[in-house]
Amino acid sequence: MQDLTLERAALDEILAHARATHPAECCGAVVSHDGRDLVRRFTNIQDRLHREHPDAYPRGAETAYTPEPKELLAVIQEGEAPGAALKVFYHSHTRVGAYFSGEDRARAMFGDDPAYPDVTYVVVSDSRTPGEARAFHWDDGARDFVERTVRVV
Amino acid sequence: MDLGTTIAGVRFPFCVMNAAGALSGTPGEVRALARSQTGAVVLKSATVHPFIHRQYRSLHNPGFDVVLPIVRELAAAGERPVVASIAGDTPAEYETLARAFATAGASMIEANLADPWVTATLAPFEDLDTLREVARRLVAASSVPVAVRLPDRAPVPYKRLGEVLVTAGVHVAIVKNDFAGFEKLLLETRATLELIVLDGVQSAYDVRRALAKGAKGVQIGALLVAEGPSVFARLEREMRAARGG
Repeated sequence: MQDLTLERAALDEILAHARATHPAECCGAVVSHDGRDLVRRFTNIQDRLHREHPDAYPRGAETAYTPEPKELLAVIQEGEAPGAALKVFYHSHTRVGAYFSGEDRARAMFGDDPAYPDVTYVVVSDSRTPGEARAFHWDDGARDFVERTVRVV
Repeated sequence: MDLGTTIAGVRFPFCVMNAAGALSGTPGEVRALARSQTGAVVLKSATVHPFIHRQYRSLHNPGFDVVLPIVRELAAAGERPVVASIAGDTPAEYETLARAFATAGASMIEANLADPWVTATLAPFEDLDTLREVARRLVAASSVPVAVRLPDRAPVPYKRLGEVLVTAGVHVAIVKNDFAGFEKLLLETRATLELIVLDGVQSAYDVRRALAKGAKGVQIGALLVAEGPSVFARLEREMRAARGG
């Protein structure tokens, strides 16, 4: 599996986002523009969903995330522009390490297929090791998400 | 022999298509539909957030952002129109979804106003102002025609219902294929809406009868689930045979 190359400034911004929303999880995306990594923050509306529909959304923002839909749509469309590409969806864990949980996997799937097979999912966390960042990408052979090395440049 | 239909300016190569949710809830099902003779690929209703309410299983879906890529894939293939079904609990959610799917390449937006979740939250037929607002925002947000899926028995006078929709710019409705859902609506709205009828067909004879009564197209749910995507080829064969072609 190919490494994920991420600019230092982008990773630092993702970690800063995670620390700013702590103890709630953060979420966002990285859009590549002509080779530059630009971080786009999403508002995590999980607490609102949990408050309004606790049966359907039993977790709050400390253990789950849902991006604000208009912000998410804007970034998806930004990634379709000429010279641009949606590169990473990221979120933070605030109580556990930066692993790809079952919930994360479910969120990334559409039935038996990955929703965005070309996009890497990055999870960051300060819980276990400060600044921990791990990346996961769909692998057709394994029919699952597998970890990619994050190469910071 | 042309067995296609044109609805709100959108060309459908066959007048029969799947109903939203019928074998259209996963990429595998959707791709199988796209390889069939269906007149369109009508996706299962999508919502702005992953929808997992236990008591409303009919609307379970992974959220619009997860569905968007398959719309792009099918639109790029260009073989059949893609109809994106959407559902929400506020006019703003319908607006967001209509914009998202139209931009992704859907040929038509089908606003699901019939699902029990929608009637329990948005309640678009308890107050025609709500329906008017939803319709207005849908049309403003979508670059492609908008259709509305009506409940089996819309609890408002059909004439007023038609006026509200047409005035807002919605010219297509998906309705139950029975007298109260279809023919009565057609009569009372004076055919100002183009109607796609839902279910009530087993054979080409039933399709032809619905078209003869004024339907512009037919959606099938139960029959598709029972018979699989090959049902479209079977209906097409029967229709050609009936017309001597």
